[in-house]
Amino acid sequence: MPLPGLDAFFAFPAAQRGPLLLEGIRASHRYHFERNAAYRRTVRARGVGSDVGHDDLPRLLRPAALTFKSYVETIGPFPQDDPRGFLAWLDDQLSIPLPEDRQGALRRRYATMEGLLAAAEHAYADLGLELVTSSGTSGIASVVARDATTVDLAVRSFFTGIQRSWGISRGAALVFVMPENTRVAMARSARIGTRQLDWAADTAVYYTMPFSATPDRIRLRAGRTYRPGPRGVVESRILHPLMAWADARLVAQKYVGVTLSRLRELTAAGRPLMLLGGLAQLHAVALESRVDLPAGSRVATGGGTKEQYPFTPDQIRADLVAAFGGAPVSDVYGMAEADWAAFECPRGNYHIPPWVYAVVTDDADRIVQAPVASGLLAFFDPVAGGDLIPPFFQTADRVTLVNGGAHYDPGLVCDCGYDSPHIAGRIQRVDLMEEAGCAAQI
Amino acid sequence: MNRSGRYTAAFDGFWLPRSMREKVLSGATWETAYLRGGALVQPPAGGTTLTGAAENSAVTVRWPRLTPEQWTTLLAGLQASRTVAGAETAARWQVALENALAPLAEQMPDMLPLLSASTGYTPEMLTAALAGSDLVDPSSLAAALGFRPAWSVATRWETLPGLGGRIRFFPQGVSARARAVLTGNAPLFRPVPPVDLTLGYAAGNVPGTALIISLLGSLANHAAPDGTPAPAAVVRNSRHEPLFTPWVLSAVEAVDPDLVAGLAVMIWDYDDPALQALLFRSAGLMLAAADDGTIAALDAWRARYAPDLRFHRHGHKVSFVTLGSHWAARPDAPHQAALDSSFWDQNGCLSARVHFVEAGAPEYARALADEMRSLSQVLPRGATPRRFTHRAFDSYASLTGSGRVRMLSEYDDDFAVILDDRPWDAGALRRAANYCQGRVVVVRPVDDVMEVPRLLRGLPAPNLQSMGVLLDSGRLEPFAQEVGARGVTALRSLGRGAFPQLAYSWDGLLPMDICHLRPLGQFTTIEPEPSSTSDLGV
Repeated sequence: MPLPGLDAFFAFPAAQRGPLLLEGIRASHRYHFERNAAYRRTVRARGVGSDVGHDDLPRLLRPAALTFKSYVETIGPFPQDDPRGFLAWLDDQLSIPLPEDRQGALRRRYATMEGLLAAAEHAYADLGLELVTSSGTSGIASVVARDATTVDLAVRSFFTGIQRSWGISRGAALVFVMPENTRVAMARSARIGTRQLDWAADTAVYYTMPFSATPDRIRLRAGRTYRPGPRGVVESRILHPLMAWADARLVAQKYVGVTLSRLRELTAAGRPLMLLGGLAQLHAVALESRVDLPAGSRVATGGGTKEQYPFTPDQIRADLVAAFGGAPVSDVYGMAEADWAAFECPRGNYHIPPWVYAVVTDDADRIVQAPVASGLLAFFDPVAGGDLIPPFFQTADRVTLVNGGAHYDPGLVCDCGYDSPHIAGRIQRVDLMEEAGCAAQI
Repeated sequence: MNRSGRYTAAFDGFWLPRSMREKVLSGATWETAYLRGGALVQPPAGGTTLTGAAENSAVTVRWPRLTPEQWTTLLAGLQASRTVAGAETAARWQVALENALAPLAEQMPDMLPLLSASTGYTPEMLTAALAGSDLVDPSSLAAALGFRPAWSVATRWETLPGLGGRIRFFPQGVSARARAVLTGNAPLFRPVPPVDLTLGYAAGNVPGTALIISLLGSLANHAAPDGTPAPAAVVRNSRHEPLFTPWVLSAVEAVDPDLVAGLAVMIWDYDDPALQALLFRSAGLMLAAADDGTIAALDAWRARYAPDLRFHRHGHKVSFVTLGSHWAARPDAPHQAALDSSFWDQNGCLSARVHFVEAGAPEYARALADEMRSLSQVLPRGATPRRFTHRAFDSYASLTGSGRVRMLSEYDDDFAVILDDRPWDAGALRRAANYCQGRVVVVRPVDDVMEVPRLLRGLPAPNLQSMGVLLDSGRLEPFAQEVGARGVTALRSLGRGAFPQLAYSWDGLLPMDICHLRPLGQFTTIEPEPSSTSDLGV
């Protein structure tokens, strides 16, 4: 049975979504199991075949970070040194074959990861290949492939959420405190979306981070993974401190200035706007100056705080509200590996799109069966996940999920009226064990 | 404490000498926590306090939140209670622990469910660990404290007098190494001024850390002039492991109340600047066994409040096993090595992660998997998340296509054993070591055991700790020399990984370091084959 389109899911009775999505998951699994070598290897080792039942669902979930950083195990953390090895890894990860005749178009090596990813995108431009990356703190980038179809689904998902959850639609100005040229998934979705959905035609769109954010820059900035040998010494002793200094002294000053100038300009014109950026970046803007945004405007934060930051999210939000004239401040939760995002509603809950089958798993990787369940968030996205990569992933985020999976309690529908699975309360990253003592990772 | 627990509203997750409890706790406010499976949980519905007897029940624990005045009273009281001479302390501990064993054994059936609920480890594992605890021989401490090494120990392996085993010092820096050659007979240690207070911080990932820190901290004045009393000690314990140390200290107090009259094991918030400042400024020595983040935070407090405070750090560490080619001639080798990786579910620094095998690695890996499967029955894993094991399984299962990685376990096993024969660089070793948590062993074939120190070069030396070894006697010392130079601080027999002897090097520090100063560097010890016939029951 074909699955309905994204918009149709909003009208579909919530109690009936589960069975429909489960059927979609089975079909999606069968499709990818037959075509995707990496996925098949993983789930087969877990004892899963091409046909699955409800009990098999947890065994279809792959940890997102593990999956999209797995190139490290085969070609090392610097794929630019082995472009063919990288393409072989990519081919292994995809459910469509990468035409082999393009490999000759790639050089033997690239100076940067950005160079390699751009060349690979160029070589497979006819597929609409987009390689987005995470902005993780380890410096090792998750590399997630999207094709024209999944890009389209991701941006439609993102902009559908913006419209439905926050009431931001075409005509409102968009100010993104992020670079226009980046591979970070949400920023790229924003850029592609405004272009592809033709918002830019009647919507002013601004990117106020006047520097590119390539995976190489992000790695150096993180300061945890360096090239081997003398180059690594230069990176660790010179480039990393230099970037830290430049970020603190120059970059912040620059984007804060550009952002404030855009906000003042739009405010003077009385044009409602959505200001979107990372918590720390928006906080820097808020601490610099106060701008009373026009009615109908919204401030949107995303990405959490990646590094130690001396203010809590609650403190930052309070500062944002005060600095931007009481405009509502909302958060968005998303990740490179997902073609969807969860938007925070006025009740403080993060709504997962109704076409996503979201669950939480316990410490033994079992799905927690309850309408209100706490554990690590995992999701199956048989509708918008596309045909490129099996869209079944376990995140490293501990959440409390309401009305997720097969559970639906009408009494637990969010007071905001949006009837979808939602994350209640805080989202906590659990990469490391709590009180790990002497045994943590090195 | 009501040991049966059935009628107790909450167990005391702290320890104060009997003589001070009333004085300090009068009017105190209390923090109550509920622990199940080693994790803090929400209060049971209806406010029922559970007692640990029932399956899956939470244990209710409380500790006082002292006011600044109460802290001042406590510190003054501890100082006033210092009556045991510093030089006598080790011997008093030895006697007290020996005499406390019988009552502790008697109380064990009641305590076991409580310890299991609070730590998350299974009763079987706790029982086996405590059964092996006579391998932690306090009597050897006295011998260790009598050890007076000269600089020559930085140039050769020396025998530890009265202890057996061998020791070598690896000094930091070229000038120190040169000095070792030039002044071989000069003493390495020099005394430190007496200490009035030892401050300790203990993580809760493995039971008993607070007890060890309490004991070591009390030895700080061992070498002080006659008549100097042992220091008072205040140890900050973990909310995740609040019961074991108070239990043992209560038994010790029943035997020798003066010995522990100057000791307090409490729980307080790190983020309490006034209290931290008071404690740091009052202390002469600080010991911490914690994660690197906590140690960095303690260093920051120290820099702010007491830059001269001596600080012994025990942070993130990883341990390994190395087997020489004759391992197959020792039929119990896989079993012993399996113990080294199963105790505490690799939730502690002592647990062996990667096993380096010189010959017959595929056969070893199979035998090891069989042993770990057996151990999962008799020494069941605790609450350490199974997802750690699954993540390692998934990661390596995805590499089996290369033909150089083999899985020796199934996804549903309680453990994972992987044979990884791919070319390795420093990154591969680091990733393998990081995957080995939750009973995960990566078996690494090596052509020669001397490849191991070369591989270890890729890991940060401060993160290396123990090496379980099965090597011919003639190869042991050269191997120890090389891995010691890389940063390994202890070599011990297979099967003894979870039971280090306090008398030997703990993260490069000897008991003598508690009461002396010496040049920067690390001690590496080769612990002798245990003469103990202790049966772990597994």
